[in-house]
Amino acid sequence: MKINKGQSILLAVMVLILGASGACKASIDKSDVRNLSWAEIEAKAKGTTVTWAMWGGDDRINTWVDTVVATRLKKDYGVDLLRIPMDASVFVSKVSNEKSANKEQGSLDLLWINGENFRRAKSEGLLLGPISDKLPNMALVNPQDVVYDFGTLVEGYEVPYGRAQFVFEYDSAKIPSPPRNFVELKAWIIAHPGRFTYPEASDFTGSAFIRQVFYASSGGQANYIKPFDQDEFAVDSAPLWAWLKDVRPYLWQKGTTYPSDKAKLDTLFERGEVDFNMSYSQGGAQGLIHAGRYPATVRTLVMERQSLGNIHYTAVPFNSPNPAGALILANLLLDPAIQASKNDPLNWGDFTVLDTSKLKGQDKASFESLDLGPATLPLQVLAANMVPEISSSYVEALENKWERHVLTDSP
Amino acid sequence: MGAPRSHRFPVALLPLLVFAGVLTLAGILPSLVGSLEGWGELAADPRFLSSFAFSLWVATVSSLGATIAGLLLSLAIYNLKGAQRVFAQVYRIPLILPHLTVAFLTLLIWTPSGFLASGLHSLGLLDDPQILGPVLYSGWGWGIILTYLLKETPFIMVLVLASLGQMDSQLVLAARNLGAGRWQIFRQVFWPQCFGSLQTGFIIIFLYSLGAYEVPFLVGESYPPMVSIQLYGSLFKQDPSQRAKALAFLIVIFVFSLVFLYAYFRASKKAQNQEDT
Repeated sequence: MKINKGQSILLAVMVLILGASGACKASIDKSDVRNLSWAEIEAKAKGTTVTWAMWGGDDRINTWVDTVVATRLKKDYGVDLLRIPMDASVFVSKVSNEKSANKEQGSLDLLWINGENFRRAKSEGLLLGPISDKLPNMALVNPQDVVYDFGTLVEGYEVPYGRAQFVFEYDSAKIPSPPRNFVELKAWIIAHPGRFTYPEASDFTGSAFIRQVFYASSGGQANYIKPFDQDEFAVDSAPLWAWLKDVRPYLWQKGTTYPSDKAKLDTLFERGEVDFNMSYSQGGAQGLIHAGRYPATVRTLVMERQSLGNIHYTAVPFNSPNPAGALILANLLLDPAIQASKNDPLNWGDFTVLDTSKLKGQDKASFESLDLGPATLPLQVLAANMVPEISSSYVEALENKWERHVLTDSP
Repeated sequence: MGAPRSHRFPVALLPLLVFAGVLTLAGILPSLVGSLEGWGELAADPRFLSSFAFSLWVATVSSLGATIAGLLLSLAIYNLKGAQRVFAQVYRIPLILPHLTVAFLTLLIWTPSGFLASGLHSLGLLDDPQILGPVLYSGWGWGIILTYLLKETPFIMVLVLASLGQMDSQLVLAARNLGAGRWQIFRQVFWPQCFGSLQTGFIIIFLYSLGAYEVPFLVGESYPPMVSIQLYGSLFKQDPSQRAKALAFLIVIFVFSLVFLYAYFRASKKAQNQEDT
């Protein structure tokens, strides 16, 4: 087929028109879902698809969402679930870009979020809220637990989802008496060259590991209730960088390179290249034993009075195309049966955010009958050693400075 | 008729030009605007410079290595006969594998707990598997380079074998009868025939490996990062204050790619002209 001049120009104009129409706004339902009653929200959500952007680095969590959660959502509310694996910092940047481009209709409905990403999202006005007061299942949560998220006031802009605590994982058959605090850990690393490493600071778990060393090396969590100050931070963080640099030559690959995310550290641990794994999920190791990925002798440990704990949340972006569906899903995630299923190490092992004293009958029993397995620490041990998270402005500073101080040595 | 044919505006290309132009400008202009505050910081940040230098190194070694290996292996296959030649078609396997898969293969083979180390260890040839550690984690990008060599050498071979296939095979015989040695046959028969495909292949591999993300993500070191990793980190993973700097860096890479293409074609045209005269 030959194209003549006229047809070419016509085609060019069509390309232009098509391009321009893509930029035009589709008709958007401007009504605010927060003005509706719960029954109206349920009716509005029925038959829709809700898109949930969440960290996708753990197969078991993904499977649990795709099966247990998706099935209940479809059965009880007639809503389909589409899970999008995406790091929290990435979807916050995406929504932030959409906000500055005035994109009123985004592509994500629910975000799995907390900490510095929540602070950024809330302060840039990226979230729909307050929303948590709309959700019936919020009555099962102790409101005192969800006032602050890493020092940022929650104010109903996010909905609690799970309670996590940082643990180290090791094989008790190989290491009968593991280190109990960061002084002992340092000695252990130096005595066993090449057998320990942690993910880069830009990774969620790597960042949490560094925060614990920060607490341990500079007076503990009580020291950081004060607001962030650049000069004081330089002084406070000096012992942290010294600790990390002291152990650096004894790390896996002599500390010249680090696993870029937790999934890569998991692989190193499972293949036996390193002796410790770490996880911001206190019940996860038991599940991995069940799944056959860890030997049955793997146990978890916390550093004495230095184990970070936090609550993670879900939130709705301001330009969610289906906010009603997002609220339905956020509420379902607080359902006692869903929370108990999530708490089961066979599924995930993430602890509940519900106040179990408010539960009755079958719901209460399902938590009491949970078998957390020998790899999970007793609840009293976890509780006694837990420390709250630091304000999120410290988190950003620690992550940025790690690259200069530890990775490239160019402070 | 009016203007000479070659100077007339190619109307038939208009849809393509509008399409490509609009898309490119839609990407570049907002970046340019967003980068205004970033240029000073960019110059002061050694991470970007080292990541750029590192990417140039990886792209150069990968594309040169794949081009040379591809050429030599093609010539070897060209000289094969019958069943051997058919069997040699296994070289195409990496072509159909995605880059990500080949990167996984590199990882499986070369890590201290991988096939090579455990194989050599069980044969008693290697005492300490940790010796292989530096292959992937020396800071020289060997993991990325090994992946690209495995993946792109067959790509060059397809191009070269295709252009050798168009050549009259009598040419080689004729040259030999006229008393040409192996080097002379290579230089005057094979080289002119393959040069165009080698050039195209080299540029495609160079620009691809300079900017691709997935291979460095899997087998790259923490430092220095390839430009793609550095850019993704600054645009999405770190705090928003890094954004302007990252956009400025993006523009540097875009301009570099244009200048590279221009300089390369100019140089090769010049070389071609000298050869012709």
